Amino acid sequence: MSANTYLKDEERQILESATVGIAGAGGLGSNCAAHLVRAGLKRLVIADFDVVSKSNLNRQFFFRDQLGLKKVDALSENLRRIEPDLDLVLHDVRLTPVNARTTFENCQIIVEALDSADAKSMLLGALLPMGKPIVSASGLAGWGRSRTIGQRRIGKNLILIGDTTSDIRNGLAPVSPRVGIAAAMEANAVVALLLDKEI
Amino acid sequence: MKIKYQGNDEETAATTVAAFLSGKGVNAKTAIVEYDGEIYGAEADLSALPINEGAELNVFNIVSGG
Repeated sequence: MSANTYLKDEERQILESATVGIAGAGGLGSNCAAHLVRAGLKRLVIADFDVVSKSNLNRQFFFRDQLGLKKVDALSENLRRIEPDLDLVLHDVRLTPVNARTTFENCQIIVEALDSADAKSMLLGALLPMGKPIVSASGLAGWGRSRTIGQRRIGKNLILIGDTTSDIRNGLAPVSPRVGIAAAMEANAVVALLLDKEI
Repeated sequence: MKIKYQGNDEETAATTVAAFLSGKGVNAKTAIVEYDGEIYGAEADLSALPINEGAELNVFNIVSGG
């Protein structure tokens, strides 16, 4: 039984059997993963090369006693506190155009949850030719302006969350409320796609 | 040649998507380009993509933060 007791049987079946990839376990990825597990998903493929640091605790789904742990291990531990019966495939790796495709080849949908614009662009360039739905985020730094965080379907397979302008390189900090909104919207889009609902 | 760029009508003499976007100051290496419903990522060669009359072109910036 998944973490979501509100699901109808057919919804539960779809969500529990779905495999979703999450590229990055930072502010977007860790929070998106928690939403997906609470929504009823059980199979996630998560990739991140980083360790939990103090600067992550302002927005990422980690705790002070996890400082120094590999993010994929710490996230696995936290997700299993929500729902112990999960099928998690963890990749402690920096994603490249080559390994990104093999890492997520068994996933139905992939969430882009990386940090830098270059890494995001690299990942989208690598994964879009696979023809799988990708949910990505661009433009979520700073405070306020919640309603500017939009959602667009681009082409057939890309859903882009964010305002596409609020860049941490312009001195805006990545902080929990806006990053959390984008992470929740990414998870919401994934669940809607799986359940064939309006995104 | 008339195209629709970011939802607005534009007149352009550019013959390729790369040339058009360069004229707009767009860095296509950190953007997603949607051209007539197809997506082109950072690795796409937009200089090989001709601009056609009536085409629809949209660009979405990829910025840092996560």
